[in-house]
Amino acid sequence: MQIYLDNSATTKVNKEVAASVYRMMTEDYGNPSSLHTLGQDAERTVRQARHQIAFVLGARAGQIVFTGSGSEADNLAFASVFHSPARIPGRKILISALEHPAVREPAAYYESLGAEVVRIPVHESGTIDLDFLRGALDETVAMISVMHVSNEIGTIQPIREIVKIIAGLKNEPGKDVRFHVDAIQSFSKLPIDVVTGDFFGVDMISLSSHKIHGPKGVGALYAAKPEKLHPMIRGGGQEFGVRSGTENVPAIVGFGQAARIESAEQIAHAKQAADCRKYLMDRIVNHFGNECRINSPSESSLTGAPGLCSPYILSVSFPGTRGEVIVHDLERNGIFVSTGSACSSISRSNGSISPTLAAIGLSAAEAQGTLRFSFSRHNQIGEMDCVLEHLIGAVGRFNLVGTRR
Amino acid sequence: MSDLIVNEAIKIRRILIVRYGEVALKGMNKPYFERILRDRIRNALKKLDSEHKTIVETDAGLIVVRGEGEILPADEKAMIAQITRVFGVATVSPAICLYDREIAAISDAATGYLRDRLNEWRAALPKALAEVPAEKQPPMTFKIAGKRSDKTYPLESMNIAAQVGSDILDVLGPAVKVDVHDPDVILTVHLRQREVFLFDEKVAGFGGLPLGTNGKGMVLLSGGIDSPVAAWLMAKRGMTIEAVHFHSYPYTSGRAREKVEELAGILAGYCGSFDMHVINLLPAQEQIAAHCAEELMTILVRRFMVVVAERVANLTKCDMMITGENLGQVASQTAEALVCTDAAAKMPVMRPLIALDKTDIIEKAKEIGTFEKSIEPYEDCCTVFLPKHPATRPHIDQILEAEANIPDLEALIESLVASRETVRIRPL
Repeated sequence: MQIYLDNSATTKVNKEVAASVYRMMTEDYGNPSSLHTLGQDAERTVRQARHQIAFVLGARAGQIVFTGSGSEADNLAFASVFHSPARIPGRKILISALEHPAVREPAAYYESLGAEVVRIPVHESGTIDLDFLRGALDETVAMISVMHVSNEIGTIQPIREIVKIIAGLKNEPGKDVRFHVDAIQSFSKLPIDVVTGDFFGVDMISLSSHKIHGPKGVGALYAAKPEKLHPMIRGGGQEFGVRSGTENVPAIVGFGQAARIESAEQIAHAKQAADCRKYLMDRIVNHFGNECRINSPSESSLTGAPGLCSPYILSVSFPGTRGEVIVHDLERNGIFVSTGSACSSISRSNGSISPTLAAIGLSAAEAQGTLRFSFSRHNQIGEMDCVLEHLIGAVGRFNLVGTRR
Repeated sequence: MSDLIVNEAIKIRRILIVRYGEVALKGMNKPYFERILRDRIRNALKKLDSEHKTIVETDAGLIVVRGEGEILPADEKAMIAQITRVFGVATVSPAICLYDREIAAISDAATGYLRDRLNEWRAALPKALAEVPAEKQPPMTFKIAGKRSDKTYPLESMNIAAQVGSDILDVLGPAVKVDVHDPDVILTVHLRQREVFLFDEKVAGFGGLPLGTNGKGMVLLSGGIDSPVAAWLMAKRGMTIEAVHFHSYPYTSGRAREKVEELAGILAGYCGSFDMHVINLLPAQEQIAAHCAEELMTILVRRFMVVVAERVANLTKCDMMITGENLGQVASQTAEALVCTDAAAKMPVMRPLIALDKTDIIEKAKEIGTFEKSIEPYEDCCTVFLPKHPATRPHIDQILEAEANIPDLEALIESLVASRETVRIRPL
């Protein structure tokens, strides 16, 4: 038996998608740049994948640039704003306090080159402080980057509100603030529409394939104005000259297909995850009471309502325990969860706590004892009983040796 | 012996001379040590997977490595690297073996040898010097060291050196010059019973004694810097190694264990494949936490490790145990703590690092190639079991009293011994 609740780290590739990837590797293996029909076929399938991604966002295919990962998409967004050294000094970058390292680190890099980075604090729920944002806005702001759904706690950010707030600083001479959203945890899971929905007015959106049952090694950046993108990788001019290098055709095709499949029944999938999430959360609260702390907003939203939680993520702290010990204990029973977030487990051993958990007010003890359950449409309610049972056992075993320390 | 006199037509060939330092001091057992050492060298050379067969033989106080029938294969450097890793080897010299012992033939070969060196020496000159015409370049200095094992040879060592040196000067003329004090090249002419060796280079080995000539030791291998070095030092003295590794899964991660296996693999590169017994110590830690004073946790856990390791060591017929303990390094390695740990076992516990400084241990770890792996970070939660204020001056009575509080101690120890999982560690 295996219960996988680490879907925010990565997901199992859909079999149908894997079959397409395999076919693109073994049969339709042409290079899209080749003149012959094999190349032409590959080019067509890449184009089709681009349409599939664009369709989910309500965008045009020409607004989608494939990258090697979600992190690369984040980096490309920064590199496109700060493409020349002259644009960096004295400019302000606003990022939320919950950002992924793939945003935090590029921001820190441009800070080292002379930009000023302002971290927007969040409320206890994880929602960014919009008043702070208003106060921080001025004409020196070059870029705002806010994660749509926090990978660690699942909070949904008020993207439409942010767009409204910054509207006065856009599209006028001398006012060119660019709004980037890392939507890697929400793409094809929650509604994102760049024309009719909350994302109208967002300049750039980062996406990733392997969080939505697609293959690893491919991501994408949506750009409202793709002509404003600037390459980090120069060469043969693939991806509209923005990202040279022979396209990872199999992965791109898998990405497109995964996006189509996952978004087609978005609400039903979200409902399945939301049901598991609520069932597990209620039982954890019921059993552990004051010995646990739910870090995510307790209510989730299938439609992406700001301030609520993604149906796919639940963060819980068991203060006094150590998340990694519980993770290892659960894995013995075939249950796979994460500490705060998979990406931060490496730095965790150095004694630093996750900035996200610190930002929502967790103490070091609470942060160290944090688990993240992240769901997919494949999870079943029945699995949650099993998870709860082993969780109770693991925390109990820890407390047996750990309570007095 | 028959292999030595190969193809008489070959008058000259490349060989490797292996000197074995301490083994040479052995008395009656010398042939035994020599045989083991030859086996170890043969094994080390097998790793090279060369098409050329090599012959490894003891010959009048030296081990000589030759190519079978042919001259030594071209991967001479790789062979030297392998041989210098063999415990018991003091130095290795790439050499020329000459079967014609006439002084004229020796001088010819020595001249050829030195000509090669001269060309290399010139190639390594600073560019400005290299560009001037050959006749204006400074001479390379050399010295001939004569050595005579065959005392019946008509010339004495000094005369051999003088004659060969003078013959070389006749041929290479002003390009080379004798300097007996600080020469660029010292060419040794070693006159032996049937042949002459010419060499000018000695590559140092680790010394020590051939592996397998000094019993078997059970090393308590952690993922840290110290224990692999301790095991290596004992192996260098000829001891066969076996290992036991304790973890506290799920308090330590599966990655920590992978790291230890890789570390052991590096060790196996020196001391051959060995068994490692992996044991989860958590049941003991849980019992200690539940029944004993917190400040004694560390020392009690150490004693458990020693007790359990000793039982496994007895089962696998080890003679002694080996730890990386180092006086005063941490709370569990104070003199008082070591007394308590040592009292846990009847079997002798070797602590080769006991009096070294940490910097020396690190240096050794770097030299043998375990350091980089040892310091690799991984999730490690054994801090959960670290008392806030560990006892640094425990007394054995106090420790025994604490252990008496653990119910069914004997059954617990036996269950840990029985729970061991044995993995075969092979060179990486």
